[in-house]
Amino acid sequence: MTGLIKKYIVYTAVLIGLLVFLHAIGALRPAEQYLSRGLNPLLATIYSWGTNINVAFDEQTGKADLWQQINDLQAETNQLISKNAELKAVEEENAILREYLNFFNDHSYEHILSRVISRGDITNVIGRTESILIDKGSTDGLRIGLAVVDEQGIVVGKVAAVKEASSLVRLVNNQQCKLAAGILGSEATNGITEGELGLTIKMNFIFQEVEIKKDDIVITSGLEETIPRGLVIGKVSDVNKENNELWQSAHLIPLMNTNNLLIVSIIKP
Amino acid sequence: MYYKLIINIFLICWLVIFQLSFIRVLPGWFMYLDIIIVILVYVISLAHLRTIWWWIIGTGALLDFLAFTPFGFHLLSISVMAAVVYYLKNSYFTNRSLYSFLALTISATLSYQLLFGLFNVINALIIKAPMSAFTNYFFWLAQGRIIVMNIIFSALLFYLITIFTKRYRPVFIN
Repeated sequence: MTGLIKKYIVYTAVLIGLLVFLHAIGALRPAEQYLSRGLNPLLATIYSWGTNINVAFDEQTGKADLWQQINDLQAETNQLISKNAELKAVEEENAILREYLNFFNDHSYEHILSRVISRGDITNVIGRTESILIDKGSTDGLRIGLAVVDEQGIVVGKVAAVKEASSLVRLVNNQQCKLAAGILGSEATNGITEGELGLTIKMNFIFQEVEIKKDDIVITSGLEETIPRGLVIGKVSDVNKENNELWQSAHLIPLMNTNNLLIVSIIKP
Repeated sequence: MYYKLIINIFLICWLVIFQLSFIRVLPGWFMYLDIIIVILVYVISLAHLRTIWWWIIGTGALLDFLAFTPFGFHLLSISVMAAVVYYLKNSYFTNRSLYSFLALTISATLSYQLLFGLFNVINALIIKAPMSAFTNYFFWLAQGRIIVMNIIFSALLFYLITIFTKRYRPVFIN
């Protein structure tokens, strides 16, 4: 029996080594791609069952009628915030473009719709997910750094890793999801946002002379070449300004709800 | 023989899909349940060596194909976990009682999670990404919840197995 176990240990070690080597040289890529493509629809369907249970649970525990009203108002508010940001961006660009005359302003972003198939590992935070997996990959035109938005145009996160048929998206509440951000109404990049403890977003490196206050809307500044300007990230909840510090910082409330993300849109620049 | 192989592959695929897409999105403590670990404990305890081997390789490889961690992390973690469980089952927890299965479940969960966490820490050090798994309070809190949920599921599975089949009753030496 001991000899048999040793044989299986050797088989396991050899097989793992072989699989890792084949993966490293890319020999397994076609198999991985076909496997992902084949399983993605099933993953997305089962994910939607779990999400519906999660949403139903939230609604029951949060008093159904009030929850519905809050959801409706939140959706309407987010839509209006997003529209306002778009209009502001249009207004600013229109003023510049009028000077040059010959320009057609098109704000329709090229985008790819994708279904969420899994949530990321939850072993680092209490019940809050910081990443999701989607069913589109490099063969669909995705690459690292692209912005991901929800149905209301609110930034959900950023593409962090890409395989042929699936991608990892780090959500805005993830510490490793950093976005160049500006305050709505300002043309400059005012700071960098990053997630904090999986719950909120912190905006750092804001110059002292920048005026930022509670309820200001923070948008993507367009500094990153893969992310266009004007996508809403969040709303300022508090500002930390010390006169003897070089920078000030602010906390933002994420405007997207990670618990019921089923379909997201990836913005292609 | 091929019929059994297809059935096993089908079960492995469903197990991984269910864990990744359904369990992880459930509310409350349910999201901490790791049915892959619990099912593997029962496979290691009750099946033949060849079946155990195929289940370990199958679940590990499928998890590595679908996940975004470096390839091999899940395979290695599951293989070492299986070796630990197999050794404990043959040396200390030999009587297939409920307590044996619960002890094996705890051992499997701890060995898998700690090893996988260690691989992630090493990977984060190499690529210079922020990672504070073992010094993070939330990491250990999550480990506790995972163990609790796995124990509950293991106990439920034990009673289900003993209800539906008499083949795997506890064995006590008088």
